[in-house]
Amino acid sequence: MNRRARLVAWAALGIALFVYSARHITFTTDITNFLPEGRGAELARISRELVHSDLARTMVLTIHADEPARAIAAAQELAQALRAHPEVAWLRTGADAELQEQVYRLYFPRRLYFVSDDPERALEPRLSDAGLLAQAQALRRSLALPVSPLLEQIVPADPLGAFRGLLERMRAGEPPLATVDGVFTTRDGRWAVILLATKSSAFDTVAQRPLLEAIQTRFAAVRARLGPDLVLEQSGANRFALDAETKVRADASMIGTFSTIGVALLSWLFFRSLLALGLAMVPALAGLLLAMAAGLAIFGRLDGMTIGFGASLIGVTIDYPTHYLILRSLATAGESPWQLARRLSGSLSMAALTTMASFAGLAITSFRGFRELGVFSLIGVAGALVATIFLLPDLVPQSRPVPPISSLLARRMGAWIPRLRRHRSALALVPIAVFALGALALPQLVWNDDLSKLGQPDPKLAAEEARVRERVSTFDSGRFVIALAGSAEEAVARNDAVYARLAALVARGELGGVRSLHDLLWSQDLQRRNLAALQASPELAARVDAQFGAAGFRAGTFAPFAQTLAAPPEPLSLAELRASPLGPLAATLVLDLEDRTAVITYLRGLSDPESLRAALADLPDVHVFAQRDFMNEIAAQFRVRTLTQILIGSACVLGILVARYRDWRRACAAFLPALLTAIIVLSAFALSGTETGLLHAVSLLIVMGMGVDYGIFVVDSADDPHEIGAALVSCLLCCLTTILGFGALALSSHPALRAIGLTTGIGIALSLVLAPVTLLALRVDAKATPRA
Amino acid sequence: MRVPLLSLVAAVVLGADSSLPAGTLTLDELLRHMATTRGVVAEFREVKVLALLDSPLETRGTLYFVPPTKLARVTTVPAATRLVLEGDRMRFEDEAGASDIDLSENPVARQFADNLIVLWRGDRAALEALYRLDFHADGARWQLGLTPKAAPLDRFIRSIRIAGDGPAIREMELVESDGDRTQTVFEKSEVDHAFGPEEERAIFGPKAAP
Repeated sequence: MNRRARLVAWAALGIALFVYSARHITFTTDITNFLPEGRGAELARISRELVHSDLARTMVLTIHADEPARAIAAAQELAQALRAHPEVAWLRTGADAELQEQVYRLYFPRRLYFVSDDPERALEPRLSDAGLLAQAQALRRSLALPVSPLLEQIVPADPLGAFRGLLERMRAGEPPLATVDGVFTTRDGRWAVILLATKSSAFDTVAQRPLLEAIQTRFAAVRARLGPDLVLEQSGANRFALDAETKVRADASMIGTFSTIGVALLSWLFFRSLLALGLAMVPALAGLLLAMAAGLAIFGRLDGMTIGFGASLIGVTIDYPTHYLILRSLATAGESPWQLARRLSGSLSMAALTTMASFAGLAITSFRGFRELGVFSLIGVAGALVATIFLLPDLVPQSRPVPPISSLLARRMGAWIPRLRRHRSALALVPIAVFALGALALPQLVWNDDLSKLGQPDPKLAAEEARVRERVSTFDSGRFVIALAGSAEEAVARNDAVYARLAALVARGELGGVRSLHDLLWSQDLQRRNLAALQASPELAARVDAQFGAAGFRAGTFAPFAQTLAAPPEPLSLAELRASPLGPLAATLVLDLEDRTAVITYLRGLSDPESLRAALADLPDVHVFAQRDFMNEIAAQFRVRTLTQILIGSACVLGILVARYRDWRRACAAFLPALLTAIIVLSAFALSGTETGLLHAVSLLIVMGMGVDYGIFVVDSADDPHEIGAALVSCLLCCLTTILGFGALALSSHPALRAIGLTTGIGIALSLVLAPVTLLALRVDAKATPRA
Repeated sequence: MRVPLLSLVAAVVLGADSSLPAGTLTLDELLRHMATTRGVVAEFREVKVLALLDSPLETRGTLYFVPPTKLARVTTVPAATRLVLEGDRMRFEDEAGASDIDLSENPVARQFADNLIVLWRGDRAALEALYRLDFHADGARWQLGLTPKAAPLDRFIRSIRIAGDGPAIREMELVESDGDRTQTVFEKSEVDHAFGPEEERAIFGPKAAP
């Protein structure tokens, strides 16, 4: 196959991969992909579900005006304008009349199942003659109230007030809002309130952006019409997700521009050609294209973060063409591009293999996102290697003008090696000193796995969120109680017990309120115990008639009650509730896991988390779940796993190097720059008091992968005094390119990106310096080890 | 904004000032005058005849109304109770304690209130949206009949008849759909009472702890 045919084949493959990717890709970003999966990780799964639940997708819009009536009018107009937005799942501005009717239809026939939480103890006094008489007198007093026409219709069938109690519990689970002219307002009437839920996850920024923009645009129009004093304040997780993404994008754009210009200048400086820059990017792009297509074929979809971060990981492969191009420009005359590729294929394959060994651990984590990332990166690195060895030789120009700066640097840097040989003993102390430093400093290293420190919520947004949440007393979206059981009935029963404990906390003022499934459904056991207690009460229907009669109620009024008591319908089940028009109310309160059911209780105004834990401590399979703590625990686990992966990966890398060189000194010389770099970077963090976390660990993984590349390039060139200079120039260019690519992230305002940039930038520079140092310290250079 | 029946009664029946034009009164004139009061204090006697009860339920007490939405109904017979309405909130206190009731989640109750509040506002258009109106006057004596037009109000109320003499409403009768009826007679009313801050707090504020 001639060059032209090969290039056509490569182009056809590239086009095919591109077309396949373009047809299958959907750009979504969802942080929950980076939560762990697996059967044993039920809480993680619940956490994932909750992130997508109505609660996390709910927005609260509050509107203020100098006159409350205009705020209400504005809320009505804004609600009308937003109701039809494709991203709005539901929108409420006031009480739902239809819902009331549905509640009546579902619960009123079953009211006798919902009389008391504690039927055995609470019903006995209520059902005594004295208790019935007291209820009758209270009911009679209620009939004197202005709203008595509503009461009169249900009293004959419900003298014990079971249905009224049910309604009160349901109301307790709603935000404490008032209604003015049919529109929700805060209790003080100063803010009109709109509640809405989005269809997509709050973290799906692609879907959220148009909605948030529409809210602003529509409100601006309402404000223009109804008065400039109108103020809109909002609450919603989607706003933070979009803000974070916008800032990261802005940073990425700035840093990307800086990096691109820097890399272009380097290309010009080292190759006197911008074409070299393009050529250096070809293998990485080929790897990215292959990784994208393969990732989509394997996983069906790829998260935006996987593509973004994976592309960065694959970006390390720019070292391979850079190394090839530098050595091509400095190689001896007569060596063809293919001959050079064959000569370097060992070094490049080794570099790629060790990088893949470093990243392989990502592919076997329980985090879907990281698993995707690992596979994506492995395939990408492999693709870039293949493209470097088999595509690049056909792309490089046949002429090889030696760029002055490369040549000069190669000579100068090559000359350092003989000079440094005189200081072998001193250089041998460097690894020893680094190990000593590590022994001293590393115990002081502070790991902080608080993921919130990696985010930087906009203070204005955070303050607005707090104001709105305070205004409408929304439930805490990050803390729940979860009752787990093997069957739905068991889970509902367990939730009954949870509710009883939480109700006691509410009564003591230690908890502001709860939103519980208990407001909608009791276990069938508790329901049947209610009915049993009523039916066991001797001649209850007759005594109701008598005692209520004594309070002035007409004889025979309560016949409907007697009929239901004698022939009740079946109790309400979770399945019936879910299948009813009220099913959506239970949707965020019950989650079906693989073989278990989770019932969630939302909390409001928790003053002391410890008292909550203590109150629920003895209930089996009941968990107080704090999302932030949970995520931090996951981050900690992943960080430990990453560090473990670094150790295992390092052992693998060392094993690969020993197998390749069959010489422990060469293997160590290639490996030590990466190891020493890791020790120095972590020691620096320890001594400077910098708290390190997950992203530092992941960045270290990248640095070590690249550090080993430098070690391999230098060791593989060590036997040739001319080529060692070229290899060092190559490593210098790789290092500068990486610093411009990754290290530039240190300029970001985002703590997460800064952590990556700082670790990578410092680490990669150290790797460059340490590569020749270890070479000489271990006497692997030509002088010490004559070429075989 | 929702104010239950009593607030309507207070507004319409007791809230008119005494400077109504001479001659036969019109509904517009009556409604226009409802918004002019600084406050109302009126003793009332209410008799409910309910199918549930074997004897009429008689209540006596005093009604306090402060525009635009505050209404207190303090009873002395058959028992000492206090009911305070403000916006969507209803607070009821009796010898057994106090309870807060949120009317906002009950669309029917809200509709009751909305009907009454539009009457108090003198909003004839809104009133006509809910009721068929039948207003008759003979000199200073007048009678307003309200018949619900649509559900859910018509499921609970058959008709409301309010009668008055000049600026004052003297009597109101509400007939429910099942035939139950409530007749309220207003006595000794002060139709333009200026509440002082202390007085208002004492009547409408929460009951002091014992």
